[in-house]
Amino acid sequence: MKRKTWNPKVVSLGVICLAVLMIPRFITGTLTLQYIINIMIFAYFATCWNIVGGYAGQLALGNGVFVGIGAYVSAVLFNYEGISPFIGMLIGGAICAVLAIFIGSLTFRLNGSYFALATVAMLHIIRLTFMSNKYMFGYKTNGALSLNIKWRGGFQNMQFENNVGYFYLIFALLVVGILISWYIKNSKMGYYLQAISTNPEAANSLGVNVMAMKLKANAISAFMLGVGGTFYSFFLNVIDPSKMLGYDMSVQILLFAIIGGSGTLVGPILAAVLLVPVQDILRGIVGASVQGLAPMVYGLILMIFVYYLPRGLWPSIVTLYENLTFKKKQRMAKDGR
Amino acid sequence: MSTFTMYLQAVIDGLLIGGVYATIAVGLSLAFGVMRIINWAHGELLMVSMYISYFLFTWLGIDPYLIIFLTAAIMFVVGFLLQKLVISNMLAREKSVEPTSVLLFTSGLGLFLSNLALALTSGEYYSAVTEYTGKMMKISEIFISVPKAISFVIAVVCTLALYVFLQKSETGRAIRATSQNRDVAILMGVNMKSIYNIAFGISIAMVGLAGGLLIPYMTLNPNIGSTFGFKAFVIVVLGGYGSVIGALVGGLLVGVIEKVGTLAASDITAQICVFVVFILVVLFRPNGLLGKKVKM
Repeated sequence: MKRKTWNPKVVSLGVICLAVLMIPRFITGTLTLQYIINIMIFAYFATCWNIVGGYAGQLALGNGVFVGIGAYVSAVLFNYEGISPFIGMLIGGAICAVLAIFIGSLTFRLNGSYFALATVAMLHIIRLTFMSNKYMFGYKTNGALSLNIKWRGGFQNMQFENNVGYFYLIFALLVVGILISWYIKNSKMGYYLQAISTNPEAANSLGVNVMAMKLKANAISAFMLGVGGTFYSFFLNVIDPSKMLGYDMSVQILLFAIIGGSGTLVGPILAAVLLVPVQDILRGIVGASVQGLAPMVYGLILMIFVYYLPRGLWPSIVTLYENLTFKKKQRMAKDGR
Repeated sequence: MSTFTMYLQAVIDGLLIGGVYATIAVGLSLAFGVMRIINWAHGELLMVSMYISYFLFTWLGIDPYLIIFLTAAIMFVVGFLLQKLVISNMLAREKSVEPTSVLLFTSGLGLFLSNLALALTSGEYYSAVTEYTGKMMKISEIFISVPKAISFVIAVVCTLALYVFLQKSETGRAIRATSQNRDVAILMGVNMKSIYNIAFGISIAMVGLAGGLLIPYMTLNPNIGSTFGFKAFVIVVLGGYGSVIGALVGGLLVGVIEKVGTLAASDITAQICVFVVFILVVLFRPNGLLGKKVKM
C-alpha cells in the first residue's frame, strides 16, 4: 500500500524556498524589500540564538552582543585592511566563538538565573568598552559614534547597488542557518543538548559531558551570530554601537525564539515573520515621530505569550493540529464501525 | 582642594547615593529571597514610581518627602496585584524552584514600561524643582547636598525598619519562614499565597519609596530604570540574596565604588567596574560578601 513518496516536509520547504526566491521578481519597492530582508536577518539571528537558548536551554540573555562584535571585526578589517567581508565574517565569527567559550567556561557553572544575569553583565562590559574607546586594538571604531563602512561596491565586498542583491545574499544566509540548526537538532549533539536542557544531572550521570556540550553550542551559536552581524552591518552600511551591541538587540533576538517556541526549528522563523513587520507597520501608521512603540508592543506580546502560551507559538500549533487530526481519526473510526 | 578631600568627598557622595541604592536592592532581594523570583522589571518599576512621584509633586505641590509614602502605598498595591493576579499563576504552573518564565515575563514588562514611558513623554527629560533641589551644606572642606542627605537618612531608616519588621513582626517571621523552607512553613499554618502577595507588595513598595527619594535631585528619563535595575542586581548579589543588612552594605559599597571610580578614572570605567564586581562575586562568592548560606 505504502508508496515511496517525497517527504512532505522537504517538498514544502522546497516550495517555500522557490516562492521566496521569486519575491524580487514581483516586489520591486525598495522599502518592501528592505522589510523582507529585516525579517530574514532576524529569523536568522533567532535561529542562531535558539541553538544555545532553545536546544541547550540556557537563557543567554546577553548573547546578542556577538552580533555587534562580528559586525565590528569585519567592518574594521574591511575599512582599514581592505579584507573582503566574506573573510572578515569568518574571522569575526571565530573571535565570537573564542569569546563565547571563554565567557561560557566562567558562567555555565552558574544556575539558570545567575547565568542569564552574568551574560547581561558581559554584554554591558563589552558595550561600555566599545563606546568609551575611540580606538580598539589600534583601529578607529569611533567610540559611541557610529562607524561607517566604506563604499567599494561589488559582490566580493558584500555591497550592492540595490536591495535585490542583499535579498539573495541574506536569504542564502538564512537557508544555511536553518540547515545548520536542523542538522544540529537531529544529530547526536542535538539529543545531548535536549537531555541537558531537560535534566542536566541525569544527562551528566549518563555520560554526557555537560560543560563541553554547552560550550560547543555556545561557540556555534556565537560564530553564527557573528557572521550574521557582518551581513547585517554591510546591509545597513553603518554600525551604531548602542544598537548593535545593545541590550535591546539581545532581547529582540531571544524574544522571537521564545515566542515562536524555543527549541523548535520552525518557531523562531515563524515568530520573526509575524513580529518583525510589526515595527515597520507601526512606523507606517503613526510615523517615526513617536518613539518606542514597537518595543512596547514587543514587550506586551512577550508578556502575553509567556503567560498564556509558555511553550511558544509553534508547539501550540502542532498540538492543535494533532488534536484536530486525532479527533478526525476518532470520528472516522466511529463512522467506519 | 587636596587629593584627600577630593576622595573623602567622593566617598561621602557615594555613601549618600548608596543609601538609596540599598532601598532599591532590598526590595529585589526580598522578592528573590522569598519567592526566588528574578524581577527583571525592578528598575522599570522604579522608573514608574519616579514618574508617579514627579506628577504627584507637580499636581499636589506638597513636600516631596511626604509624597514618598504615597508613592510607596501606590506601588505596594501594584506589586500586590501583580503577584496576586499574574505571577502567582505562573509560579503554580512551574515545577522548578526558580522559574525562568517569570524572568522572561518581567523582562517583557520592563521592555513594555520603559518604552511606554518613552512613547508618552516623547523622550523629554523631566526634573522636579523642589525647595531642596540644589541646596548644599558645607562642613569644613566637604560639600554635602541637602536633598541627598535627607534621602539618605530616610532610605537607611526605612531599610532598617524593614529589617526590624522582618525580624520581629508575625508577618515578617512568616515571610522569613517561607523563604527558608516553603513546605514546612505551609505545614506550620502559614498562608503561603497571601505571604507571597505581601512580600512582593513590600518589594515594590520599597521601589516606590526609592523613586520618591530620587526625585528632588535626579533628572527623569525613560531609560533610567535599566541603569538602576542592574545595579540593584549587583548589590543583591554582593549582599547575599534575601539579606536586608547585606543589601544595605552592598548598596553603600556600590555607591562608593562608583563615585571613587569616577574620580579616579572616568564615569564609564566606574560603570564597567560595577559589572566586573558583579561577575567576580557571582563566580567566587555566590552567597554574597556577608550573606547567609543560601541554598543555590
